[in-house]
Amino acid sequence: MSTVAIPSRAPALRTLASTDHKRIAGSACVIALVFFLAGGLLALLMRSQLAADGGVVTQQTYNELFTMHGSTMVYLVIVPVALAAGLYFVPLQVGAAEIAGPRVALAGLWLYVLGGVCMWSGFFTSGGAASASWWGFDPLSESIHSPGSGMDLWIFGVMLATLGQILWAACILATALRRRAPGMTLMRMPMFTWTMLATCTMTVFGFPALILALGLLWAQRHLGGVLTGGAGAVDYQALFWFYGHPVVYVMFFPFVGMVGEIIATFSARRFFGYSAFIVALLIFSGLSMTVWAHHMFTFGVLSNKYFALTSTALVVPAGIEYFDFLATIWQGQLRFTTAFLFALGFLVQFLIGGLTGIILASPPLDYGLNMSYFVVAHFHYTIFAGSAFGLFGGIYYWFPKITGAMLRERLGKLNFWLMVVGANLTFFPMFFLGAEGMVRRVARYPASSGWQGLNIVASVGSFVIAVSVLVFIANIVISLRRRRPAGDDPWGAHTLEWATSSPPPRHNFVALPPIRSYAPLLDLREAAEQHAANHPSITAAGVSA
Amino acid sequence: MKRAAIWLLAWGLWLGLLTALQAAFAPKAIQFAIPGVASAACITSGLALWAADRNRERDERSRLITDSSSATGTLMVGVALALLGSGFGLWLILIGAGMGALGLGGIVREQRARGRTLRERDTR
Amino acid sequence: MPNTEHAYEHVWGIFLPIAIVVFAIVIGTLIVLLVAGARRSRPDRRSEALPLEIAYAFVLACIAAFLVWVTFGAETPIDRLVARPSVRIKVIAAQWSWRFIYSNGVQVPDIDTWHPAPAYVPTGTEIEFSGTSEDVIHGFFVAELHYQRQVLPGYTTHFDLIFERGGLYTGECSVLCGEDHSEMHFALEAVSPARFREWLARKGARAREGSSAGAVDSTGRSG
Repeated sequence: MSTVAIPSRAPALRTLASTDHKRIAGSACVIALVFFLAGGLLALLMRSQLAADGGVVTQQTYNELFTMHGSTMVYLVIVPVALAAGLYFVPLQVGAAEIAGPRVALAGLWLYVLGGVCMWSGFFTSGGAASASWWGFDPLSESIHSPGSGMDLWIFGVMLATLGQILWAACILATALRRRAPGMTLMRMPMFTWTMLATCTMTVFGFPALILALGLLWAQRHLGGVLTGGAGAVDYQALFWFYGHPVVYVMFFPFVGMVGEIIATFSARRFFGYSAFIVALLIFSGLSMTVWAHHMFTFGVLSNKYFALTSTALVVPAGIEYFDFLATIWQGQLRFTTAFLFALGFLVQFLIGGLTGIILASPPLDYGLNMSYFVVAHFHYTIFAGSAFGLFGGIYYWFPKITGAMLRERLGKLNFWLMVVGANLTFFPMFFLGAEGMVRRVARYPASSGWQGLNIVASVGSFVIAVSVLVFIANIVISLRRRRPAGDDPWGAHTLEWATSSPPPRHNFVALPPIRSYAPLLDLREAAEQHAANHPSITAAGVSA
Repeated sequence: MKRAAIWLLAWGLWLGLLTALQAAFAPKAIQFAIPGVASAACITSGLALWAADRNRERDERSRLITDSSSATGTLMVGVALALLGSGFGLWLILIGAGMGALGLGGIVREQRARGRTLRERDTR
Repeated sequence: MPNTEHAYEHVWGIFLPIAIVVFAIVIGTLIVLLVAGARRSRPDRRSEALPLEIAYAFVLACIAAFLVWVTFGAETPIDRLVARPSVRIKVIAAQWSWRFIYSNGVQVPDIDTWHPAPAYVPTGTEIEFSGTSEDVIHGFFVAELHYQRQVLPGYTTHFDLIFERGGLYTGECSVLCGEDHSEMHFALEAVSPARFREWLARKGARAREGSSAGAVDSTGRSG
């Protein structure tokens, strides 16, 4: 519990200056939505170019498009949203009144916004935006090959955004480790909080490598002599990929946590295999810090076999997690809400991404498939058809808690099915294109290759995704305008965030229920049922959390 | 609360173990250096947290936080402008430094107000 | 033998069926659970099965070990460099074309085109390529051989390839290298070793007749 030290003096500054973790996270999500739409527009332009096999944009512009699309989606959309979800819900799930370090969290929001603006301002420079891919690898990103301030603005933008993310992760980590309510031991923390713990550990100890790499790149651009020749190219990418692999797990674990909560809630069962899942999470998140040079197999410089071993070993913890998801559904009392559908979509589609990842983890295969559309398909299945589906599930699940209003279920289901069709239509053909030898980051391809047909299919799919996003936005607008009140716990959920009002008050809880497991509200409900069963003459009036 | 550090220690040790495993694969130095630093940092943080929590009594009094901090935003804008200034000129670094100073000043003000409120609360 | 095609097809022939079977099992199980495994009321309350999960993790680890064993077995021969290759070819990448230089000084020229003049290679022979770049990272990628290597500036990358069949092998640059990245194609024509020696000798003679040793054949046509 806390008291206010200084009352707010300028109401207009509330959102920009508020130290309420819920407001900070909410602002971040709104901003991320704007960047998502912008990054999506770039993708539609790219897909138009590839469907037509040239003629829509110049090659230089195309290089800017995929650079900014990838950079926006990674640095400015999925990572910030993943962390913002933790910023909003970890304090609630552990029964805390505040995030640890509220001003640090606020600083993170500012750095995120400033970083995004900085990066995108590259489009307004004479040389255009950065065009050396979202990796910014040298020597292509050096001043001689990427002259102009667009590249520098990109470097600063990524640095600022990443610093903000590290600050957020530190706050969430501190909250989970030190601000839990009495009775909430580590082994009673909910699924989502555990996945955020793993995520934030990877962020705090993995992301600084990117800031170092970018600092070296900037120094090379303006002072020279820092990253020279082949060794310089290897060093930059070694640092980059030490960040670049964990970042994709930062874009995965929080959504695994959301999916876990959703499946448990809509199967009316506590999450199955909690302790095995926690161990798997520890193994998975640590292991994922050691697979990074599988992005460099085709250099032939680092120990390919070690990274093949660690990358393939990922099937073990991943398999445990899938087992637990399925076991939670088993013999449950299922409710097919939109959130549950998106969670199921995650399970199916992420699996495709994960299995193709194991294929790429084998150097003899990677030598033939690296840098091709097979890889593009793989990571879009994991990050879009996987994580983003988990994210939409989380949105449909938690929107009532955040806003106090329910999202429309029928529009939600339309959103879901359009997105399933769109995602698979766009990305499945790319597996075949990659296997046939179409490399990525090309603005056009030979007509004789016969690749245009599949490219047209993929491009049609991308526009179906766009329509599904419009349906989603319509759902949000309609649900906020003609509100259907949600109440504290519309879903009959298990965890503490549902034990307070929707939206929660400034300091989160008026009172906390007893915490005896990782599903305290379910415990209360089951105890009440038990009590009613033992005392049939007394009617249980239902449990209010 | 006292055993929270176990997460960081376990994670750091696991990463350290996997890093050391590379020795069987003729690694380059950089393969040890980067994850080794991360592992060491995690273990160190875990040890620091263990030490901090060992003697910590659960603080039952309420915490005092600043509800609204425009100084934070000012400071961050200053940081961003100073960073950009390294590429665009000293004038921008100076503007950034100025804003940063304003922001820091604001945070100092917030901290002093907090201290005043704490003293008032404790004397009541 | 550095047969990258065999290595790829061998590993692919194991990994892809396993992936498909795993996918079918998981999705099949999911469908069964959703349709037949649900309850109308009073959901099951069990939430732990640690011995089962440990056994399952062990099974997964065995599968992973098998996959790694297959990978290592296929990778070792193609990563290895032959001690005394019979043919050595230098590959020089530059924005945005490729140049091939043979041991007798013959060069196949760099022409920025989608129909480049092919560099000849002998079939059934271990060829050692030494790749470098004059500017940024490029990717030497021959789709039909299922093989690529990144070539770096200020560094020479050595790799061995073998061309089993005769014919034209198209190559692309697989690493983003700037504005004309999509234009950076090359071609390798695989012919019998005898024809290869004949071609090399002919091109070498023509080069010596030209104005300077190692001169580029400006028409780009093979001799």
